[in-house]
Amino acid sequence: MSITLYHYLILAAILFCIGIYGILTSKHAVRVLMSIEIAFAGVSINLVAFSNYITPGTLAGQIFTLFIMTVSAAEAGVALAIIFNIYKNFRTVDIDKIDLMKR
Amino acid sequence: MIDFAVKNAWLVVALPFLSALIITFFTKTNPLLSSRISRLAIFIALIQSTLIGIASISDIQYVIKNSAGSLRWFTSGDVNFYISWKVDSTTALMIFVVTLISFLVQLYSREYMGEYINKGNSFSRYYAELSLFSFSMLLLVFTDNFLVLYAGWELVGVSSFLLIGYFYDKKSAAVAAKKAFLANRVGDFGFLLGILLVFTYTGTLNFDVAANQIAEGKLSGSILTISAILLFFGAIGKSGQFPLHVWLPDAMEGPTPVSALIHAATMVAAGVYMVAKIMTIFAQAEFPALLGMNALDFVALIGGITAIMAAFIAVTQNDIKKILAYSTVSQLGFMMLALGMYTTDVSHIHPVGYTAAIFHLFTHAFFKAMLFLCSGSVIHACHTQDIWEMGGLRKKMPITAITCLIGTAAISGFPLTAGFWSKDALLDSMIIANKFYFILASIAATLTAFYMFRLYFVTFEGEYRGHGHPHEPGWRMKFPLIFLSIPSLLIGFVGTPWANYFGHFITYIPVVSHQVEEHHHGPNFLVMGTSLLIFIVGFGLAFILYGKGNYNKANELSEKLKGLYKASLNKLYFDEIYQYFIDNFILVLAKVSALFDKFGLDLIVNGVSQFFVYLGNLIRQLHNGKVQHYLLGVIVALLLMIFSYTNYLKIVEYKNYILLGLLILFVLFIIKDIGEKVINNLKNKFLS
Repeated sequence: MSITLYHYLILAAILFCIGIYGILTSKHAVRVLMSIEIAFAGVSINLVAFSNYITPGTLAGQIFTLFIMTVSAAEAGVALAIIFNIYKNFRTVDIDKIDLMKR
Repeated sequence: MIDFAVKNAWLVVALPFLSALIITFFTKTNPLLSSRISRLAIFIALIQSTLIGIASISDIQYVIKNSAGSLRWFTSGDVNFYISWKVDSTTALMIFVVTLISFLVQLYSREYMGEYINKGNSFSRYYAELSLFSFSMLLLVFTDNFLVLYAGWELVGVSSFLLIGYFYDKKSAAVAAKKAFLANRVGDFGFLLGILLVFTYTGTLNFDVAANQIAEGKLSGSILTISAILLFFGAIGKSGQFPLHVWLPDAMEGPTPVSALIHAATMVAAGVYMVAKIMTIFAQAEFPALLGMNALDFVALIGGITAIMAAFIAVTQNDIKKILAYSTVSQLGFMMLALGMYTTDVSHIHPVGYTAAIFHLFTHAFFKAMLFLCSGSVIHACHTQDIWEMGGLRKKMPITAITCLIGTAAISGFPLTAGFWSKDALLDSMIIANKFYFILASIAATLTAFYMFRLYFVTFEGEYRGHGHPHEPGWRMKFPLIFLSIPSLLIGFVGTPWANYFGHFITYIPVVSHQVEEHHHGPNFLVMGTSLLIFIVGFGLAFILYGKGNYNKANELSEKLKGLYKASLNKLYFDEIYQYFIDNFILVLAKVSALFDKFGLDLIVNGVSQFFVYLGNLIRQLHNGKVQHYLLGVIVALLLMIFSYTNYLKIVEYKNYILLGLLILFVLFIIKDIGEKVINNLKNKFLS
């Protein structure tokens, strides 16, 4: 059994779904961040797989993935800073308890 | 000049209305200016209606033709409703009486109500309300259709309500105003039903057209009689007839000039006027639909009961205004009784008391207004309304005493005064039509003479029993008294049996002209003799019992006739009976309806609203402020969108995967929710 595009796509979909599930259900803010990273990984696999199988000559997908990695690293930094501030204000990082938007 | 007055007859109505508006909106802060505007408006209206009156006497057809007019008020379906007016002889008479008494009363009020000039806007309010009343009353008598008549009818009710409740901070006045309004509403409801019945069958609201349609048979038989009786209900309410008379004596809580204008001379006469104006309809309602009575029998019955009952009550009252109020009720009963008098030939009814009733309405307006103004003068001087705290006022207030004596003589039927001739005409019609009512009316008239002279003797003769120093009022109050004493003495001469100018001016014209036997049979000396006897007996009794300033005999008599005395003093317990009826039936009924309201209607209404509140709360759960829930919403929505656009995106073959994804999402969430709960339960168990 050779590995085809579909296997990569299914893996990517599974990773993405795990990520989304993590985002939706995690209580801890940092876990949400980690889940986001998993979802990113799923997307990146998607891009690399497409690039490799559909247009083997170019590296567009791989370069996109590099960009995503850098941006997600920066984003993780910012997000962690936000979580720190939330913790400072609420003394908690349980995002179920942060429901200021209700008011 | 006369031509202008006739052709612009509507000005008579417009002027008081204008004055009421101006006072209300512009000059209410300036009491003296307000009162001047009001008096000026009514004075011009008086001059104009005098001119119209002169024109009517010389040529009534000219006036009828030239004074009429109409405005379209509104259209409903195919039917146009008009504000239309027409001056015929009764209207010409009524506008003269209304404007004259209104003017005199407004002049009188300037002094009588003088103490209120400096009390805020209340003096202006008084004059605005008087103007409003004059406008409504004039509107009522000007119109020739039921709709505007009904509007005027309600407007006089409102202005009467306002004026009775003028001293609204006094509880009794506020209560009396409410009572008057409610009692009137009871009658007005019947009136409205009558109007609707007539309109339904004839398709018109115009008096004359409706009468013609009825003559053609559009409305006949028992339903016509019922309509006429329903219309008469309005008159019962407005003219204080039995059994709705209870409001009129209480209406005396209003200022005395108001009582003179509204509750003696004009508004309460509206019922009589209305019945007379649509006599053509009443006269055709000959089918005996109500216990063997036709419409006019019913009118006569109510009038007869009212006349004798009110006279009986008036005999023992102690409040000067209450005596006059019951006297008014009784006199209105006389008029109604006369309106109900008729003779029949082969197939037609001929009202015989028509002219007499309006004649009595006309003369009564003068002397009753004057008597009320006299009582106002006395009350102004003595600061009490109890006749037993007056006495001997003739020496202190000679002009008031003399005018009051003239009024008393006139209402009692002293020969050659106004009341003598009109009462004669009334009795004359009764002896032609119904001997029983003749005897009844004679007894009531005797009582009238008795209680009016009792009033006069106790108030003006004998010794002064009050405190303080009563004295004559100023010219503004004296002038109306003196002025009104002239017609009270002399106006009757327009309608003597020998030369009945009044009878020629106001006659009943049947819709279908048929051969009418002329009743102008000259003087009936039996009637005249009776009416002289009535006066002598009534006056004699009053003189014996009260004439000499010694009331022992009167007290002895009241001891002997204790039952009758008490019944009369307590107004035949009408108020108590009504109170009992209201407490035990109306209020119980109201409570039952309240229960239905609460548990029937409210349940439905509140149920509907509660359902949506519940639904709203349910949906509100979605907006709980948690980021993750919103995100879930976004994802679900996205999936749904993709799902519904699968055709467009050409991914139909993945439809089922998307559905599967949604399903998994839900299942996971349910599992997570339940799992969380289980975990929490376990935690709670182990921790506690």
